[in-house]
Amino acid sequence: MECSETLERMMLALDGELPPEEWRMLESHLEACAPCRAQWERLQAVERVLQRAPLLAPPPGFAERVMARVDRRRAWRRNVLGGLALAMGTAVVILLGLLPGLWTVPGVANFLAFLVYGGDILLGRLSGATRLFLDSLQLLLRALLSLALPLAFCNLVLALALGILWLGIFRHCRPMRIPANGQ
Amino acid sequence: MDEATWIQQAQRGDMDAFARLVSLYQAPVYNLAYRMLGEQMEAEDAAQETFLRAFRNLSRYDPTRPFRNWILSIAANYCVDRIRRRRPAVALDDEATSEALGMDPSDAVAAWETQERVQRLMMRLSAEDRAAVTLRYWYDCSYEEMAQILGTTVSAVKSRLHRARLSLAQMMEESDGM
Repeated sequence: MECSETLERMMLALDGELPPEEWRMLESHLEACAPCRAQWERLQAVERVLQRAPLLAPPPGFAERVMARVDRRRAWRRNVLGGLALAMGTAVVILLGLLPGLWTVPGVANFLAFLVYGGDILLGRLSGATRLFLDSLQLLLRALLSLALPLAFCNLVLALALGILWLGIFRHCRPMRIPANGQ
Repeated sequence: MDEATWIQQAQRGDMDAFARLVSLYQAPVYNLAYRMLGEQMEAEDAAQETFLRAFRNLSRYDPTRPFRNWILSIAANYCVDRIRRRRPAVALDDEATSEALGMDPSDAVAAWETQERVQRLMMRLSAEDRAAVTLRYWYDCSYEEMAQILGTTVSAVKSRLHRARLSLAQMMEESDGM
């Protein structure tokens, strides 16, 4: 056996997969070759050290800290989903509140009717629609500023209040990093 | 109840069942994280993150595969990523090792020196080689299991382990042998 052939056999021997016949060949080579013998002894030393190393247990309270972290993550997800639902609900409230008022603003009814019934000419008249929309928005803002639409205004205030409330809950429930030592 | 039942219950959102799985696998997961990261605080954080990821992905767990290998795979891959992201050299936390061993100081002296040495040498290996050594020597994984856990081929894990053994042998010799 040549020195170049021994390393692979040493690895197989360490894995317990070297056939007996090859074991004998390896042993006879090691007896005659000092460098290979030294290499084999070093590899065996590594093997002994690694096999003696114990399985380390986690610090006390580890499982409890894991479960607390899982709970927090779940709560955080629930709050995000709840917040999204609340935000969507708020948007619906705003729309429902504004819709009757919008309808009374001159030009908006025509605009909405145009959007609904425009059909094929919608794309062709996109620039006109955009202009009409901007005009309608301007009218709407004027109406809001003059408090001509109290219902819409109240809904807007309600929506803002709900939004701020949600933001407060969301920030309060943000997940926190749990110190590894439990302190 | 057995482990398979706990897994099924945890997949349905049963937190008590998941807590049992955490208790059962906390030592293997923590030990792997510690062996790969070499520092108690970081190992605990990585082990916690492993269980969080396991909980999130429980629905993807294939029951035909051993749960231990699945969770070790999450832990090993997470630690490899973490090692790649951080600074190259890591100091060994000696006090943490002592505490983690859970031994009386007088009894721990001999094991302490071995532990310190093993961990110091481990920290000088690449993340991939460290994972191969850890799975082989602390979990007695076969090459096939190691390949499955690390998401690579049998020949690749063999190559990693052989390279790691030679590196460790050389490092030991450099530090005046055993």
